[in-house]
Amino acid sequence: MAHNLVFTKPGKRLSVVEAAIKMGDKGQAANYVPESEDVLAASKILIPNTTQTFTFTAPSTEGSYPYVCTYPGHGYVMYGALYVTTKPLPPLATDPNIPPSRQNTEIIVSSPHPFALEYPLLYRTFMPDCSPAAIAVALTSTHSYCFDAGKCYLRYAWVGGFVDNTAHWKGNGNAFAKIQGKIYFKDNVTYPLRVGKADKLPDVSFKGYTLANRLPTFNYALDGVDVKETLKSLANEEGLTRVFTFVKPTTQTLYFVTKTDDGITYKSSIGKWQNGTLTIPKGTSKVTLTMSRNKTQSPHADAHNH
Amino acid sequence: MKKHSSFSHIVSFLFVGYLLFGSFNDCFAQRDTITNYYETEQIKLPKGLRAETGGMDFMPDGRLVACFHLGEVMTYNPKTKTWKKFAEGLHDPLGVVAVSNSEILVVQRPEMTRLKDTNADGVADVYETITDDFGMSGNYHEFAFGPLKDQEGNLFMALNVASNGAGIRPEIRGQYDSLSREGRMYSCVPYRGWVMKYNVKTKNLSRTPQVFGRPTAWVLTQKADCLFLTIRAIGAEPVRCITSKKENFMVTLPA
Repeated sequence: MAHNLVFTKPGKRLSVVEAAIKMGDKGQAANYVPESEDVLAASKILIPNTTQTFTFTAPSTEGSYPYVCTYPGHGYVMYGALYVTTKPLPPLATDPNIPPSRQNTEIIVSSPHPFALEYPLLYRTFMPDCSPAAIAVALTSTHSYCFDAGKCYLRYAWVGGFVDNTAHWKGNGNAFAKIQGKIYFKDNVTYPLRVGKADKLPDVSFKGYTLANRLPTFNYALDGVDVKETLKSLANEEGLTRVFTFVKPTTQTLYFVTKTDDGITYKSSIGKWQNGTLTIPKGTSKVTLTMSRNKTQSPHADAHNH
Repeated sequence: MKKHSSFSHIVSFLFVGYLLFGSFNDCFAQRDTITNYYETEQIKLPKGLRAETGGMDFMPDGRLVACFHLGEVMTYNPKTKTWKKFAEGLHDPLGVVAVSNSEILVVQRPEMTRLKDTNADGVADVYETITDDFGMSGNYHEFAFGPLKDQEGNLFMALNVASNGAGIRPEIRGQYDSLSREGRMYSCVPYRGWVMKYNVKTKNLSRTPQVFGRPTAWVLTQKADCLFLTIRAIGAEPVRCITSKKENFMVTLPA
């Protein structure tokens, strides 16, 4: 398979592709790059295991500038776009400048195990910014979170990938797992779920987890209150839903404490919010917390970095 | 004189002959190999497995169950010669005990865990923490070994110490104590360096009298009244015995 990389003016991908095909026999000598004002920059044709470096100055006018392989036949499926803009990039799922087959953002990772990777995927491993008893969970190949089994609460969540345990599994285990992607939420409250008083940190005890279709539900006790927590992804990786189930209906008021500047908008199925703290009334068996990423953050930057 | 020299010649000839004959004998005599004493069978491993084995046991139905460094628990059926995944995602499991055909116990870095398949799909869906009532400093050397079961069903696990080859984490689990930090190996959170006993009735994890470096092998005697472990510790005897019935009695066997 031989390919090239050609940058064109906006909207000119197909006409450049067709001009390259029209070059016929003469095309090969010209690396299938037609002589045209619509071509901004181009590489040569490269065969596998070869590289070429070339530089050009990107246009300064805002727009989407297609890049494409003009080897005959490839230009209809092998293309993307260079965006000159200050606005957030469109999500891959709705980006008109990429081939339809690439709008699915799922990353395929090869498995280090004697079985294929399936999602949700869970590893107990050493994670940064967490106690040593850490649990990393990938809800999908591009949306993950870290649960602290030592402290029994969600530490952070990220999009764009999962973890790479290669360094941790190598040798003695001194290295941490590497987070792949961009963290969009990080707890800075510590022990957000509290019993009896909003300012009292609970005594915690981790009890394990169960899997339903691979999705974990964590079980832990906070000041003697038996809690089950299931985390799921919101649509479009916009955040998380967390379903807290209390094995026995609560006999005390519970509080969920958040910091209002953590980039997340919280909603709850039950209880009242005040200054970022949710009051969960007595007699509660279940509360669903929704954590949506605030729009001011651009989650797309790393989604394009394959 | 002549007689004497011919006699000595004969003796030398015989001696040299003996040497030659003896060495020929060595060449032709077969060396003992393991197959003279044991039947060995090589088991084909599943494709893609990094066979860094943490522990093995047999289930009642004859399947081998084994746990591996990358966190997998796999079963092997010797009749069908097939491997199947039972569980995944564990953190350095270093021992497994089969409770039934659908339930096992493991000790991994952070805890002693019960893994159960409750919906009969062949894969564990319950990962229950039996006990995590001990510290973790985050030092890489803090491995955890076990479990071993005694006749009463109590479970033993061993907690490795930290190494001065690396430090500890800013966040740890358990109460910190700096007393031993200066050492080559150190125990700065509970109960690194101890063999622990989990009492299945009281559900308490407590220390046995035994302090060690790291067990390289351990076994319970037939009467289950003595837990032997060989340890790799600096300057210690390689075999120790802890009795589970006589809690405070420790016998040290000679090297």
